[in-house]
Parts: sequence; C-alpha cells; structure tokens
Amino acid sequence: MSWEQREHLSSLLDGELDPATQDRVLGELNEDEGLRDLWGRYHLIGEVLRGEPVSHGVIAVADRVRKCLEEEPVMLSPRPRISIPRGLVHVGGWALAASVALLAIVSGPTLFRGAATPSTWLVRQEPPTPILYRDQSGVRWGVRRPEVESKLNSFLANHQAYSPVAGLKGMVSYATFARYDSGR
Amino acid sequence: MPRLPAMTRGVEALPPAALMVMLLLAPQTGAGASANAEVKAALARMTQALHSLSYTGTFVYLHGDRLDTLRFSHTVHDGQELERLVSLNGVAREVHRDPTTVVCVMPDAKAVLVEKRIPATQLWPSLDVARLGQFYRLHTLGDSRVAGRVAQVVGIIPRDALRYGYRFYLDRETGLPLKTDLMNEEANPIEQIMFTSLGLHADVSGPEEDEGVPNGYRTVTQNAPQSDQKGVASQWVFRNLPVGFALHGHHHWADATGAQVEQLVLTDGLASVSVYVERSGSEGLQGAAHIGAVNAWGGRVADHQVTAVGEVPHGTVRQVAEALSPRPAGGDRND
Repeated sequence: MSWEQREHLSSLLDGELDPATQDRVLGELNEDEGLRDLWGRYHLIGEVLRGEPVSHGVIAVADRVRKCLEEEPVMLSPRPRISIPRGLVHVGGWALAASVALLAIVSGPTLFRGAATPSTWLVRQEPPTPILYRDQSGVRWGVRRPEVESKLNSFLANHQAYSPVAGLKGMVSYATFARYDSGR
Repeated sequence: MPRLPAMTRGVEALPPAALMVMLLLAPQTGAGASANAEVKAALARMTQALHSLSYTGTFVYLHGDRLDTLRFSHTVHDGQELERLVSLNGVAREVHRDPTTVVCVMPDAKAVLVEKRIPATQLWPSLDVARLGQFYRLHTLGDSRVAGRVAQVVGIIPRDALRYGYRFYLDRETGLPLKTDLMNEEANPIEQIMFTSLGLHADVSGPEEDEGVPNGYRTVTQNAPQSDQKGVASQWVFRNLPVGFALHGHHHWADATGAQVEQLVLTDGLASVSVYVERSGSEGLQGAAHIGAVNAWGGRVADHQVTAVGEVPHGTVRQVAEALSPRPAGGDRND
C-alpha cells in the first residue's frame, strides 16, 4: 500500500478527490482488502475527531474490545430495560464500538445481540431524556422542519413495503433510509 | 457523477452513450421476447436468492457525490427471514426487518420506529414482464466482475423520463445482486449500490433474546395499514396520471400521532408512488423534497394535505400528486 493510495483514500473520505481519480481509487478499494481496512480505520478516526458518540465495528475493533472485556471483566453500570415485544426484533447484531485507544467506553447497553456475528453494541450512556420521534432534527429531505422531516421518513419507510422494486431488491432498498446524512 | 467500478469483461464496459446505442439497436422481436424471458428468469433467481440464502456483506452506496458505507445481513432461521442494515458512516442508523415488523433505530433522534408489515406475498404478484416491456427495455448485457465474483448483467432501461430503470449485476453462482445501478432513460446511473464484500453462511444459529431498547430511546409503534377494502372505493380519484401508472390499491392507517392517513399506491409494474392523504390541519410538505433518488411532492387538495413519495423522477411524483381530486358525487373511475 503506497502513500499515494493512503492520500487518495483520505481525500476520498473528505470528498476532496477529483472525479477522475475517484474511479481508480474505488476500483482499488474494491480489490484490496488492506485498503478497505484502512478505509474503516479512517472512518473511525474521523468519527472520534468529530466527537460522535456511536461508532461501528467496520474493522472489528468492537470485537477486540469485547474480547478484552471478557478477559478482564469490567463492572458496568446496570441499565433500566425497556422491552419491546419479543418477536419484533431478534436479528443478528454487529459491533458498534470505539477503539480502546481512542475512546473511553462509558457504558454498554445492548440492543440487539448477534446471531451470525456475535458482538456487543456499546454506546455512550446519556441521561434518559426521551425525545419524540417527531421532534428529531435532520436535514435528510432538506425541508428543515422537523415534524415534516419526520413525517416524510415515516412515509418513506411505509412506502418501501409497497414498492415492487423494494421487493425485487430486498432490504438494500432501505439504504436510502439508513444512510448517513446528518449535517450535510 | 463518479461511478463505482465493475471489473468488466463483457459489454457492460461500454460508456452510457454506446450502451444506449446498443440497446436501441437490439432486436425487439423474437430476440426481444427471448431477452424478456432471460431477464425474467434472472430476476426470479435474484429474488429467490435474496430471500432464501443467509449472507452478510458490506456495500457502498453512491448518489451524486455522496458515498456511504453500510453493512447488511440476511439470515433465514426456521424459514423466517431476519434482516439487518447498519450505516457505517456517522450516525449508526439501523433497520431491522422480520416477516411482521420493520424496526428503524435512529441514534440521532434517540428513537426506535416499529412498523408492522403486511406480508410481502399480499402486496405484489410476480413481475409482469409483458407489462414492463411497454415502459422499459429489458436486456441481458453480458458478464462483469464485482467484488471479485463473476456477475451476469441485466438491464431494465426506461423508455421515457417518467421512471427510472435498473441495471443488476447478479452473482453467477448464487444469483445475489452484487451491484445495482439506478438508471435514467439515457442509461446513465444516478445511484449505485455495490457490495465490497459478501459472505454466505450455510449454518446460521437461531436468534438471541432481545434485550430491549437503550436508555432514553422512545419507541413509536405504527400499526400495519388495514388491508385493501375490496369493493370499497376510495373517496379520491386520479385524472391525467403519468403514462403507465395505475392505481394498485388503497389503505387506511394511523400515523405515529394516531392521525388517520389514506394511502393510495400507484405503479407501472416496477416503479411506484404512494400518495398519502391527511385531513385538514395536518402539517405537511409544501412543494418538492428528495432524499437520494426518492422524490416527494406535497400540497393541498380540497382542504387535505396530499404528499406523494416514490423512487421516480421529480416530475412524475408531482404529476401523480396533482392528478388527485375528490371523487365526484355519483362516482368516477381512476385512470
């Protein structure tokens, strides 16, 4: 892996790579597992620098954290449980964690635990101040009115169930809903 | 727009203009019927693979100059499909789905949206290729390579600017879509999804016990819409719909606040638009909005808030919304 590749990857992440080079870098990303690992690390570093509370296990950092925790048990503060009906949610989980070297993990509530890929979801513990779904902020639709954004999100999630294309593409069709766009 | 690469060894390597020429010159008679059958078989295999195999993977999602990375898993346990989608960029939004429920976890809103599903088998019949042929060109486009795997390329290109088309790169071995391009009528990709890694799992353990919702998260449950009321006409009709679109069904459901919403679903057999009608006083979208390739248009019709949403061009979603009007006394038919 050359320094030029590292530079290009960093520029791609920052959205500063010229379109002509993007094609080549994306091709290298597609073919080179080492580059994909680096891509994941860059994401992680970026999230830490931005102070975002939840990260992910794109490079299996979370599994390493989990393993460390298993080997050296840490007393975690208990959390109140809010159950949703069993059967509604029971899907395999992925790690959502931060690097030990980069982040202090405050607490470890688990929402969904893994079936195919066992891991632990670790998020920063915050005061229980419920926020209405309809009150969420966001710029997903560019409307800048939270109640309208919320309604459009709900309509979109509902519409996916009735889309023949969504039936054809499977759950990947929800990528529009799940993708990151905060602050854009 | 930057493009996600597919390591090509077939005709797919052609630039959009050349691809369009090839599509336009392709025979539409006997060979066209053969292509239709081949496309239909490929799409059926894709659908079967999507729902019957257990797999995990990471894919990139490119729209405009925005690139996102998401992770996806699909497991089949005791005949039940369990799916999970996680955004790996920024806020870790998640979507979980099982046969009865869709759960959207939004850490940025500290909210969990739980939406009850209508079984897919009750929603849509299998694709009507003959109908699709009126509005799309269906083609097989040779082989390509994606994520190091050989893929069959299938194109569904729109014949006009009222709808989008698709180009699927289907894994030759499993039938799974390794790459999906959303195409305009000029065969230019406007949105691309490509797996960068994909792993199949022959043996998947059962689901683990749900441990609940994190602290401070609010759960909002939205019930499934009432099924189509057969024989009960909607109080709304459409006039001058975009060519090819027809009313597929209508439902009533309560939104997260308990307010009643009527949903009218229109489709050309592939593309679809949902029109949501709310009673007077409901605050809603005025004008246009979009997220990715999904467009929305909202306005007031007969003192109701009307919002149309669909993965179709802006002009189409607006035309659908503006085609809505109250059913006149004595009845009327939809277009």
